[in-house]
Amino acid sequence: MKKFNEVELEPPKFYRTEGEVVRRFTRLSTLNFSVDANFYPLGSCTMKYNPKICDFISTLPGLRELHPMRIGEDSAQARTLRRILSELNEMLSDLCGFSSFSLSPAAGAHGELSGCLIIRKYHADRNDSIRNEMLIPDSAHGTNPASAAIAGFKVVTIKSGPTGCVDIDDLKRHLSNRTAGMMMTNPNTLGLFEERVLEICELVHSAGGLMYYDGANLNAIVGVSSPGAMGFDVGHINLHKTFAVPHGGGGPGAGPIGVRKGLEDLLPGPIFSGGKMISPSRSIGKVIGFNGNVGALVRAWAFIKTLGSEGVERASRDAVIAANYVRVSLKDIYPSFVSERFCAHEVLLSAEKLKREKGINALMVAKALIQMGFHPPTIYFPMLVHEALLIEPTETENLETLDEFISAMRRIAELSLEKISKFPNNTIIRHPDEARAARNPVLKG
Amino acid sequence: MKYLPHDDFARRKMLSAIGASEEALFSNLKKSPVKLFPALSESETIDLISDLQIPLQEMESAFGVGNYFIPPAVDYIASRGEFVTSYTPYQPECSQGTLAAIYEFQTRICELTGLDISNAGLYDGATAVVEAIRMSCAETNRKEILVARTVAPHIRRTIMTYAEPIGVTVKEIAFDHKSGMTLKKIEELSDKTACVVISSPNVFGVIEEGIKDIFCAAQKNNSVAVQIFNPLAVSIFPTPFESGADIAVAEGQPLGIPLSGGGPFLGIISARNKFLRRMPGRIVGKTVDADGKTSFVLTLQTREQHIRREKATSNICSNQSLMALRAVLFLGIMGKTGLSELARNLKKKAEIESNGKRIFSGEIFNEYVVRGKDGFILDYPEFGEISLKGVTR
Repeated sequence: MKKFNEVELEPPKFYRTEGEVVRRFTRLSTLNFSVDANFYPLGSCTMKYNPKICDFISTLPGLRELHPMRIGEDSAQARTLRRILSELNEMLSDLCGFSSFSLSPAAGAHGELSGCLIIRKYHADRNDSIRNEMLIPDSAHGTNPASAAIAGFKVVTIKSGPTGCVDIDDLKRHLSNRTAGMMMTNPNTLGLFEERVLEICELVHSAGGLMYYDGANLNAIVGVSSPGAMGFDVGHINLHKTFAVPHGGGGPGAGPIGVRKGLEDLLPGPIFSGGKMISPSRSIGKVIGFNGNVGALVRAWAFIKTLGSEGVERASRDAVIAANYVRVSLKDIYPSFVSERFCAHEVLLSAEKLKREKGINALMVAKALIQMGFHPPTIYFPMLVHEALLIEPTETENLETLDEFISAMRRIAELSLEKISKFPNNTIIRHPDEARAARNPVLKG
Repeated sequence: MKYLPHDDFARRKMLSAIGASEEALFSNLKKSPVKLFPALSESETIDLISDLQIPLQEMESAFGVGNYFIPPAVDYIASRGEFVTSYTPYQPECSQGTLAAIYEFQTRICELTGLDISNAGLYDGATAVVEAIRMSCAETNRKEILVARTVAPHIRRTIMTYAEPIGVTVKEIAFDHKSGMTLKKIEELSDKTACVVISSPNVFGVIEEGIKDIFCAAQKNNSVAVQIFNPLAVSIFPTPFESGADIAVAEGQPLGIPLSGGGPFLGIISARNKFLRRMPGRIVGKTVDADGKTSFVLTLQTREQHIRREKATSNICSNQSLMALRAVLFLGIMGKTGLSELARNLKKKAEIESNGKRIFSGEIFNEYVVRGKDGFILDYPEFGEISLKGVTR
């Protein structure tokens, strides 16, 4: 197919026919890398295979045509949907060691915000409103502090220790009667299991705070351990990560929020349970206009049903094995301060050594991978590591693909600076001027 | 298990390279047994939900969402794996498809509203209103907002959830019980008012004829004028720009998005240029590449949470790309003429259908209020039992 010229990338003023629309967007689609077509080891994002039965269920007419205000009615379709959503609530609760979930939040960050509001209301209801500080490790995703701030909390940053895990002494220094809670990701954003999570939960609890579980990395542990077992009180799940809802170019996803026993009444409604819709009595209120991203929720339901409990556990274990396999295969060339230790579902490597020796940095590695047909890993995050390369192979890539990726990463290190600087040269565009885009914003045609 | 490629041989090979047992990899983890449940086959799974195969074919509209016609080409393109299974377009070289689609979405939304800027989409209409309120409070440094009582109850309830924790007070603006329109003269405006939120058409389906005067008074008071608009109605009624809005938000569901029992939907937001640095979510900008070719990138990311953390304009780090794509396809296929034809037809049908039954005298778009429980129950105790009806085809 002929490559696009620049005129074709620009949107036309209007279309004369449906055919013109279909032609343009079919061609545009071929400019994307995707899980369907490429290995996509984007760390922290969990780009696993998205089973097509899940998409199929989301397109059934009895779901597609159901008005949100009719979900509580007595039609066969509404009853079936309530039954599925209740079952999803049960399965998620069991897998997470929680008591109940609200399926309302539309995304992970939306789940975080809902969870922060739950923690806030928990203290307010106990007349303990002095607790206005949310403790957040410096390795946390940026959404954590942003969500806490929007829920009205003051954010207190907790340092990571030399192992990449939470520095317990720094945590102890910041605990007080103003501590509302602590938000934690486990495994953390460095791809490490937090070694002392039980102790951390105990410390925060004895200071009177609640523990929030950021479920961004639940896919490393689900079926093996659970946030409830670790001692967390509140937490969200990114269904678009752990439970294979497709990412859709950035959304929609779903970020159900769950709680341990005793906090169910604070959840945002509606709650689907036993085939019914329930409004929690002391709820933080509605967090979205209607019932949440039901189209994503039914996909997660189908994924869990077809995987079974053993499959859920196997998926977590295989994700961790694959990440460690990539780790041992690349840590000589791309070492980081955590690469000698076992990782969880993703491995944090670094291009620092390569940069020092040859001037090749993480961005150049990423662009060379694009040249070779791989989506790059997450780069420059987490910020605790210079030239970070956060690689998440997931459990759905076969050994041949992993080996091809490893071999590509090793070949990249052999490239000359001059050669790698020209990559990619087989894509529609190369090295767009991002500074210019921000300096002189052109946001519409 | 058919999603997992590894057999025991492959696992052993990897573990031997790692030099550890499988259990050693999880030694830092407290184990937690789960309830066992079997893996179902695909056909068993589909059998469990066979009722969802039966169409509902209810063609009503209420609260601005309904079974509007979706051209089959929308589903056809929006189910392409290249769009469905890609992520946020961080790497522009391998994401121009999604980036170009979002840029086109921003373009079309600005055409609908007449305003300067838009973004890659928000969760839904109700949360888009909340984002507009947050922008207004930040812009004015004020903590009180006025929301018309004719704004849909589910949106007002969503506003309440987010307002109180950040110390924002919400006051309601009354409406004329005969016309169903918000009162033109707003007594509550003060030097504390961050914004005035008006929905037109409002929850009664009524066009707010006084919106321009209300917004004018708000702006004289240095408050932000926020309009909740209907993306189908703007082709035959004044645009938010013509109404004098500073920020316009909408539920994008009517633009080619299925109802799906509540979502995913699409939050639309559009604003005047001066709000650019306060916009939440992703924004795509045009630039040139190393060869001078037109390219698209995510831009103005210094607003966002991954850089600004607790000082970010919003905590949103996703965008409803796939829904924005559906909207772009819908708008492209319909064209300007198709859109205004659709809007005129809906309006005409609703007028005929509601003739003699409507309880508010104001001009309507495609939804209207009747006595009784014949439609979707509306929670306005001052009128007793009333309900909302509307047409989608």
